Amino acid sequence: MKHRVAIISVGNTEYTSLRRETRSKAELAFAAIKEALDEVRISIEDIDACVFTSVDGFEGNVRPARVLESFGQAHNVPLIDVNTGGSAGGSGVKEAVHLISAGIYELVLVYGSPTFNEVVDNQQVLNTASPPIFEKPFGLGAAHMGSLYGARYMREYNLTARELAQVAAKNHKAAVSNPFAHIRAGYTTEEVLNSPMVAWPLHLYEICPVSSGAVAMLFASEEKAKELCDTPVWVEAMSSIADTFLSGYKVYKDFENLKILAQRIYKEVGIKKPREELDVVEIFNPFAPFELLAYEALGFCEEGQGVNLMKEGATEIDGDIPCNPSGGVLCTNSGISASVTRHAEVALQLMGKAEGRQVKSPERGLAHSWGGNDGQFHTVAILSR
Amino acid sequence: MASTEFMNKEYNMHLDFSVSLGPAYTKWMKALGEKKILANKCSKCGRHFVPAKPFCEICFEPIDEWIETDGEGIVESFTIGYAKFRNLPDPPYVIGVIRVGPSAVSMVHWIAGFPYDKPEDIPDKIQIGMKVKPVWAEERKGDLLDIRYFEPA
Ligand SMILES: [Zn+2]
Repeated sequence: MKHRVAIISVGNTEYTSLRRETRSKAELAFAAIKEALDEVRISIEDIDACVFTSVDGFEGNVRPARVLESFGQAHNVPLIDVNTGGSAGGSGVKEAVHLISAGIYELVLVYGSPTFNEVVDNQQVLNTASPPIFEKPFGLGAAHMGSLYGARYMREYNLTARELAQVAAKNHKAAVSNPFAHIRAGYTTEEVLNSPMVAWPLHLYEICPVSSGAVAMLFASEEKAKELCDTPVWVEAMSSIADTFLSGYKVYKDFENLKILAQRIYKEVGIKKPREELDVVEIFNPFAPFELLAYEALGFCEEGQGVNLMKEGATEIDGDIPCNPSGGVLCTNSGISASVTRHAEVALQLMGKAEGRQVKSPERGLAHSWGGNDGQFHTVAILSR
Repeated sequence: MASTEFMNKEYNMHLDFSVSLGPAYTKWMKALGEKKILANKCSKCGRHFVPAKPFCEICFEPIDEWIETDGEGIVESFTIGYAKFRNLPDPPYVIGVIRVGPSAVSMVHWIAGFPYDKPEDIPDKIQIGMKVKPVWAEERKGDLLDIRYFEPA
């Protein structure tokens, strides 16, 4: 990158369910952004640009950013709207990183919108993202898309229902200690297996909840970062990838394009053994199988070995490659907020500010986001202290 | 002082759209009306496509070679919807990712037409890799739903 880029603060709200939500969308945006600004003692007019990220059409308003007043519009701050499905948070972070690394701006705010906090039925709304003539009529919601991966992956590598439930239970256990997690019930493997089957082979507790809550992050140039922050987290590299949109085009036994993206970004920063060279990882895992698929695509283990990596305890908070110490998207999915949160969580870990879920002195981490129908988009960021 | 009272307001969007399919998709859809599943073939890379494509995204060339398939497909993956969602089909329903004939890519359609006693028995009735064939609707209008579903072949 031309100029160094740092993450200098994170603003997080509490997360809850849609039914329990009492805050308006405007109040959520205000709360998250205000906290990020206050953390480094600056005002909204100090930011050079704001990147808003959500999925067009999912918020009961095709252009939600335009009706919120939290992005510095009162001070004529430029507002940039980024949408790449579920990975929009990663793409928004990438946009902020580019703007600063190019030397265009010094302080950029990224806001992850609570994409689903108006929906009456989330799967109904997610179904509208399917290609309307070729796939939408068949009743694909997000849960079904996740299940297509689950079915093929389980069959390909003889993964049992219990093993898949263990992946979910690992995340539920971690979320208990995360004050910013939505589902903190700590469901066990047994409870996961006994939860209702929603879209075979996925049970209810192997599928993310629909959460409400929001996150903001502040990105700064090296000069600004050193002026405003004692614990800046540096962006070593940030990259994204895309492939074809249709669900029918996927093979479902691996995250092929994430594998390509990981190789590209590891090469860029000189990582040869990711399992040894990364200290904390946040994977976009709205469905339990995604965590295993991502372990493999990110090169932490061979194909089909994800479950063994998990069983060894390597990916637990005290393992050698901790993955989702936050409990991941599986326990908190506030839409695009959740894909910004992967970056916020890794940044907080590297700052030593991950209250209740802190990994022991991490130096370098990876944040992943996933989006589009069945994974058209992935983003990966490598962050370090 | 902050108020502890809050309320929700409901609204919805009923929007209508009309999409032009273009010649390739039109030809493919019209053939469905005649109980035929066509594939087209990129003459540069040799890959076949069901559904047909107007151009090859890899070679970035138009496609104009067509063949008729026997309609049989292979199940690449599937899921069974057990929960009811608004505007989505009534459960249980099986969504298959089905690769028809020589196609390099798959299409999404329902898998049905097999006997089962209880909904929880369905996962034992379908396997990834199994052969399926189309069951046609009585009344057809050049639409994907001219195929009612795919059934085990
Ligand atoms: Zn071609």
